[in-house]
Amino acid sequence: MSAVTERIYIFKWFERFWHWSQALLIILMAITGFEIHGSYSLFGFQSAIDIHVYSAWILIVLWVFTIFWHLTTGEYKHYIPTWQGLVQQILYYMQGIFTGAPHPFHPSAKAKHNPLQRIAYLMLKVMMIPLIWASGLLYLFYSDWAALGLVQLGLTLEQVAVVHVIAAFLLLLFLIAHLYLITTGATVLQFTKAMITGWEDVPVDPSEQPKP
Amino acid sequence: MMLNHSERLPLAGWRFFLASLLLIGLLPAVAAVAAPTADHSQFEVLQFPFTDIEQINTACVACHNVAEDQLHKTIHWQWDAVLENGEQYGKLNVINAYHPNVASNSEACGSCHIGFGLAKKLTDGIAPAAVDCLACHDTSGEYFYFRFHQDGAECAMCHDDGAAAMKQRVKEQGEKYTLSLTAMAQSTGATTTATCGSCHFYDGGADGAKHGDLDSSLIQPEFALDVHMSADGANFSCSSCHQSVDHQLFGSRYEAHSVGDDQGVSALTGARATCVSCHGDRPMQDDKLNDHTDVIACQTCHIPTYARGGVATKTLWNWSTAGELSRSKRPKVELNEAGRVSYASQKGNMEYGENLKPVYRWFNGDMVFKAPGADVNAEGVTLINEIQGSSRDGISKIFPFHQITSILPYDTQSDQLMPINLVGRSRDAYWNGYDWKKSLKVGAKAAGVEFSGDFDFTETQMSWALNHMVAPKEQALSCNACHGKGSVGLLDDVEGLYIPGRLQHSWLDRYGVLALILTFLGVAGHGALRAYFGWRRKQQ
Repeated sequence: MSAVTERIYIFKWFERFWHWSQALLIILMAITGFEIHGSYSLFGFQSAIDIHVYSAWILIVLWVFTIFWHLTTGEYKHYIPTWQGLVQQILYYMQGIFTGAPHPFHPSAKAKHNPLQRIAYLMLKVMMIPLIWASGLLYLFYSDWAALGLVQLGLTLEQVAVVHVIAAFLLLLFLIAHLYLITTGATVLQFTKAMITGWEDVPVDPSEQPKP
Repeated sequence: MMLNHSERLPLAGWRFFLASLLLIGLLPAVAAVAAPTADHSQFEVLQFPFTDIEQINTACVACHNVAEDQLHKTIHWQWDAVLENGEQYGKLNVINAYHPNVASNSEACGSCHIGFGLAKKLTDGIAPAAVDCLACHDTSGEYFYFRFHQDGAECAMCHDDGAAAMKQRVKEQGEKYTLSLTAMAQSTGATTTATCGSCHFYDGGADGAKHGDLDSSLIQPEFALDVHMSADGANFSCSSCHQSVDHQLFGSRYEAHSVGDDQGVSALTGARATCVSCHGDRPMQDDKLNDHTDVIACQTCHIPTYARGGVATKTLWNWSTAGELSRSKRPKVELNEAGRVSYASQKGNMEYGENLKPVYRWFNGDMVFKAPGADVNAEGVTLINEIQGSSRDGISKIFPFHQITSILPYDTQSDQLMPINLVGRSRDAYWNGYDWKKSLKVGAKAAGVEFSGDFDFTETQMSWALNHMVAPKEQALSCNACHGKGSVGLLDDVEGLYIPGRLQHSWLDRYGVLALILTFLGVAGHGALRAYFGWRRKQQ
């Protein structure tokens, strides 16, 4: 394929910093979290708790900045779901990707994510992560429940722990799918490179190609 | 001389200054115990060659003229405790798993009572009489020897081996208890760990036999055994926590205040022998550890094991094998490797344990004890006392307990535990005649229980709350004792607990891992197809 491509700057430095530090923290919290859950013994329960809780606080700070960044720069718009191109994207993953059909979606400064990505990331941001945050914070502040009136509501540590673990499994599912789907670029590492450097080679729309 | 206000103040200031100097100078010497204000060796009334322990008492009360009245009102005299809920407890009324009851054995039980012998019939309580002051106020540590031996206590009450081992020790090391009664009378003072221990360390038939957390190793304990009582620690004696008002002591196990106590001690409300009285309920440096104190009692982590001082406690007492005599028809004693009595004709088989791990239970402070003639549990083990509490009542905390199994006689017709008549000159006494039927008949009669004449033995269990032998913090249980895959799962058999790290929801892990595997297979399959089709395109 000899389509004309151009390099565009998609992922800004803060976005990349956020992505990679968040990735690191979440993986660390998954490793320590499942130790706390009792799935295996690695750091020892006490150290696992410490790492888990410190990571959580760092991630909270990161998220406060990130939410601010999304709102002030308008970046949140990349996560507004759209019907446009959704069916084509699904069909592409089911068929076109095997037959070598061209990608139906090309990122641009206006839309970095394909319609499926938008939905997936939105789900991550408004469902899975809030779920794990809310249950995690309740877990962390278990001893203050009485003061907050939560014990009287019938909330138990067990319920919170179960929700937290379910959310953790959902995040792991997301991670597996995510790790696979980032290999579906023109080359296996195309998307990963973009997230490291910020730059991505995208085919230039023929209508917008400069006339020879 | 009357001093006016302005003169009094500077004088008081001077006195305060001098007293402070004196105090600072004395501080290393006095440690926890205040210096007494009377030197008993100088009292004229005590310059007397006492030959009888009752004579000493007469001398004591000549000055301490209300002491006896005070004592008569206490559980130490009455052996009778009426609880707020109306239950009538105390040694006189409840049974235990060792020498199961007082009723028919009052003569021998009198050797531990702080008077001078008990009446034969105790159904109406213990009447006021002369009090044996030295039982608690001897400071020499030798008085109990005279008391028990002069008072005609049954050897087997204190010595499992009928004193055989003690005789051997005397033969080798000579007589240990040589002070005269007069010397003891002149050295009276505040109670010590040894005086309290002369009864409370040796109950249950031998040193440390009964409680597990109370034995003679606490008289001069290492720091690692008990941080409070060790000279390297707080250097406490029993009465540092079990304080008294008018001879009434605090900290009876019939009324456990430890559970509901979440306040520091107030001088206005009197002494309370609980951890929280001094330490508060958030005493640790780590806040997450402090967060545990709403459901985990201090004792649970800070008494990781008990009977740690080299003195074993009884874990099993099998009365059913008692009565086997030697060829010469005399009672016999067998010792185990550690030199402890594993069999005695008087008592049956016994097993011991050191460094034992407690069992843990929810406890709301109420312990239900039972009276002689308690019903036998036909389904299994009969509980001599029942620990009250649950995970749901909002009060209970998880406490550590020592448990002993005892095989006790019961009436097979009425299914009731039977009191044993152990001591006395009659052949009806088990330690005399070795005849269960006669012994149970007399025991039952004394306790007011019917005995049909048919009996057998049944397994019982008794629980003792553990409060002593508090270990240094380095030895306290850590997170990993209860949490995490690598933990030993110490609290696994405590009901109603969700313990993070103990994998209590297998369904959650099953479906979670299944979902992960399916997702992985999905993407792996998709990737494999992608690779295959890509390869085929290249071939064409």
